[in-house]
Amino acid sequence: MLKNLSIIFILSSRNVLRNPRRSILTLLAISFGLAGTIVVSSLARGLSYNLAKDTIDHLTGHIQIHAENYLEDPDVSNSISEIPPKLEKVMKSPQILKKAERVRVPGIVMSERESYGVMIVGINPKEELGLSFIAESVNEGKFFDHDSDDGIIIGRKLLELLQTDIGKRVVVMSQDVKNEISDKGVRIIGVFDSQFESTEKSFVFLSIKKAQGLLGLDAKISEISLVTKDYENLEPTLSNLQSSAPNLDVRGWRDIEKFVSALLDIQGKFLIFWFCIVVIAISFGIVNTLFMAIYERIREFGMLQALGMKPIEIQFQVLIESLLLILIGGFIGNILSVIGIHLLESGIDISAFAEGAKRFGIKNVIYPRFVSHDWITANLLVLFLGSLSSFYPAWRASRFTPANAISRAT
Amino acid sequence: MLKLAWRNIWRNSRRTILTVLAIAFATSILQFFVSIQLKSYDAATKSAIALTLGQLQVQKKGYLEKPQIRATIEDPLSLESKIKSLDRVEHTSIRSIGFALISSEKRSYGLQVIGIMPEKEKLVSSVSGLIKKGEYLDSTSTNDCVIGEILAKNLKVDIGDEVTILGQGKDGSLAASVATIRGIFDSGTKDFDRVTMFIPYKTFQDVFSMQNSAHSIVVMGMRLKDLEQIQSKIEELLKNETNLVSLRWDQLMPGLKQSIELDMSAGWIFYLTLVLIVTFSIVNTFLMSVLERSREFGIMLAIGARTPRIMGMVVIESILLTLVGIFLGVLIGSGVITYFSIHGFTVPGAEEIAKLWNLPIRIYPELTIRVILTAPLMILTTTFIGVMYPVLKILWLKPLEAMRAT
Amino acid sequence: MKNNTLQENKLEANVRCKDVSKIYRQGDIEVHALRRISIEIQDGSFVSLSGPSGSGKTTLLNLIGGLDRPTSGEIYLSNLRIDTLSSSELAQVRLDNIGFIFQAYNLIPVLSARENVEFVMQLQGVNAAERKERAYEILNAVGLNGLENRRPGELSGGQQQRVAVARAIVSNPEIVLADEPTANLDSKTAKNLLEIMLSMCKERKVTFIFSTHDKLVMEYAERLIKLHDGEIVSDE
Repeated sequence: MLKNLSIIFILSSRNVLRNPRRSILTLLAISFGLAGTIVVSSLARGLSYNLAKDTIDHLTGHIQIHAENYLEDPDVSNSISEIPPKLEKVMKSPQILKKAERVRVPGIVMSERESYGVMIVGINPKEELGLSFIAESVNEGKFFDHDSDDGIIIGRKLLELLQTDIGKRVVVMSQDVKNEISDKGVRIIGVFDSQFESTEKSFVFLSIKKAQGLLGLDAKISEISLVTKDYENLEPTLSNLQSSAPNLDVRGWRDIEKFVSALLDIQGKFLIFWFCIVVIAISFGIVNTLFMAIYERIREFGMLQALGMKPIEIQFQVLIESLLLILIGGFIGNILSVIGIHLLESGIDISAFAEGAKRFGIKNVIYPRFVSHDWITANLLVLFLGSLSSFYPAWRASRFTPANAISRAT
Repeated sequence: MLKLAWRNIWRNSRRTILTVLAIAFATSILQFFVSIQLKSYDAATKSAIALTLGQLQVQKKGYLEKPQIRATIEDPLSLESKIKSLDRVEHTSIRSIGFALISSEKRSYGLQVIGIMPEKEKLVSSVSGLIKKGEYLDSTSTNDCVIGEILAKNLKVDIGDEVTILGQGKDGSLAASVATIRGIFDSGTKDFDRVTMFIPYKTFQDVFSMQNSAHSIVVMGMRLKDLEQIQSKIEELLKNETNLVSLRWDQLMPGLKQSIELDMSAGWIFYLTLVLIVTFSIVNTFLMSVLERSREFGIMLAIGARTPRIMGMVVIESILLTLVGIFLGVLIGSGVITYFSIHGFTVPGAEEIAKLWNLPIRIYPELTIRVILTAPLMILTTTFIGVMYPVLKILWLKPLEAMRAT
Repeated sequence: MKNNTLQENKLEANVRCKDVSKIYRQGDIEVHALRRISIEIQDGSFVSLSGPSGSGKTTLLNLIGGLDRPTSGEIYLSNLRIDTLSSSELAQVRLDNIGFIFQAYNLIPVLSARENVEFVMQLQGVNAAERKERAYEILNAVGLNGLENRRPGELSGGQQQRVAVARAIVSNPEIVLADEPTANLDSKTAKNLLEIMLSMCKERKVTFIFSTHDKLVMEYAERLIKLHDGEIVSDE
């Protein structure tokens, strides 16, 4: 049978060309379907990529290290008093690009008129640069120069809520290591903007040395945030860090930002489900076209059988015919999707939904993001389900009995 | 003509069945998605309204943007009773809200303290039903409080423990008090459970020197549908109180409504892609059938049938076919939705998202008119537009050439 | 493949039908296309089956060619009983031993004249060089040199039928079955075609069996079998 593949292939390919209009319509259906799915999924991925990136840039980083109980109970008593030398060494490995040490405890900020609960973050300005958003988000006043600078940097929304202004003083209050409330008046030296309103409302920044002073922490810190080479593949780095610091809580960003992580997972599942649905819809079109193509050729199939072609060879002929359509359609579809993604490269503006987007921490512009495994999944599904759906018409084509097929009126 | 169209459809029964199945498939899938989507929005809206939002609140102008303790409603009780007497208003309650540092023996946190009237509050808020440990406040409570589960854990306190409240009163004086934990609630919304404490209204008024003022009057109507009407009546009441405003739930929490809209529009992109692909395959079928039948149309033209009549027939055929597919799809879709409306539907891994929206993890989709109609209307519209192409092809048919075509 | 045995022992072209009946069902009605027909056809003969439409001549031809199975009775090609073979085995028998010529739609429209002729050889596994040589030779023999690369759509009816004859002959079958091969041709073209077939029959010792009601074909035939209502009414 295999020796006849070449002649079967010739027959199939010429039959594809035989009714160019129908073949073109089918190719259009396959290619637009595939391109549509890939482009739409790239937008969805773009959305979630932004979300993941913003989450990481926010203050999370790729990996965070805390004292054992800090995440459940973010209190000064759960601080890292000493970085184990082993961990120090691992953190210097080339896998880790950036590192920032922070003090991070809940507290209160009071102006003359109002008071609000906030997260007080003590930072080293040099370490935050390029790791978190804060270094580049101070749009009024100035950012810290050194890790022992005086002053406080607060969000624009909080500034508004406190009815105060840059240059004015506010009181920062928190519980210190002795379990007593410790407070301190500080001058507002900078105001930062964030795409998340909640961030502007609930984070204030001190220099790390001043924060440690306020809380009586000495040189202790609350967290270490790390940026690695690849945020999607943290496992090796993570386990390396974990084994070097068995008494500390080392977690990846997905483990810390569970909501974002869940959103990304669900989206992945939804997209695969979505691909299946679209490809099934495309398959209906393929089956319909194939049926049309074989029903108008019943006599021909009869004749081919009379000449000695076996039923299985007829099946092969129809299958190859559909495979050719799928492959060509898929090829065009991929080209179209590249063009589509390219056209959308400047982004889609969704500012009409800005408030809703803010709730999810989504930017106002969505950029498509090409994800190779989505692309592979979509292509494989078209190939697999498309071919699978061709089996029925192919089987039908081989079942015309030659005598009936030939004597059939046209 | 309808009969002829019907017969023509079934002339190529396999093709018709396949096309009908494709339409039915798309219709039922769309229906199912729409039902889940709408139900999620509905549940998210309802739970937000039930938790603390209420359907409507009367506040001082600007309080929503800047919740300052001095932005109050004067003489709230008389306004409340006026609102309560309005038609279709079911329940009302008064709240005072302040910010304070709450300290237990071991921990201190800054958070919002809400003064509530327990008996009235029970009718406008779901918190009383979410008590996990201990009890909700009642009319006899004075120095009691109810806090969220996460807050209790953070403060390391339990039922019966005391916490101190330290804040700033309305007049700028020091507001200090001690409260005993009477109940711990779990609303499912982490952010809410972390920063919320309820104390009795009277106690709040004393501690925060509120005198005869409060921050919000919460209004619940019979049905969400009547809300606009209720709002306009309240606006009328407030005519003389130019510094007060009435805000609907979607105005109180614009993010919720807009995130629904954002999610909906994302959904529409996905739906539209599917509908377009299915339409393409339907139009493809019709185009082929028109081309196949050009000989037949040629004969019809030759014996005197006019072009519009033939075009009309093809349009009727396509609509009939689409309707059959939609009908089948609606049957299947409704069946599936009905099944899940009884047994529920879960998306594995969606727990975190459900928590943010304060949604139940198991969703019970509902079969509403909107759910039933959305998908069919979409498909019918696009098919109707799409089918114009093959129909217009008929315009260019010349009897002789068409008859010669095979 | 178990068909190899068939390929190796080419059959003696001795067609034998024994008590062959064929009943078609059309709804509730039974149509007796053939009623207990017994017939033997010798090697190298030029036989015509004739009779009015519905007499069963095409049915008989189809049964001999293994395109259809009898309701009862036995059909032998040489000593191989073919009515009990699977459709795949029948395909192999047809490929190796039988050539077909039909009334119309004879050729594969997507293949050129030469490719049509080569098609059967390709299925038989003949190598490319030999295929090409034999195809040119046979197309030349039926008078189509110069037209080898035309597609069927670009050939006249008579030319198409000549390609069909060439294709039926080229694989050296024992039998060629022709169903109304001249029906769509004018008499001059038909005569020309019959001359070609007769010479092939004699030169290559191939049995030709026609189903026809063309007088011209009957004139050429060496043996005339007439059918009526599924029975043989004369055999001369």
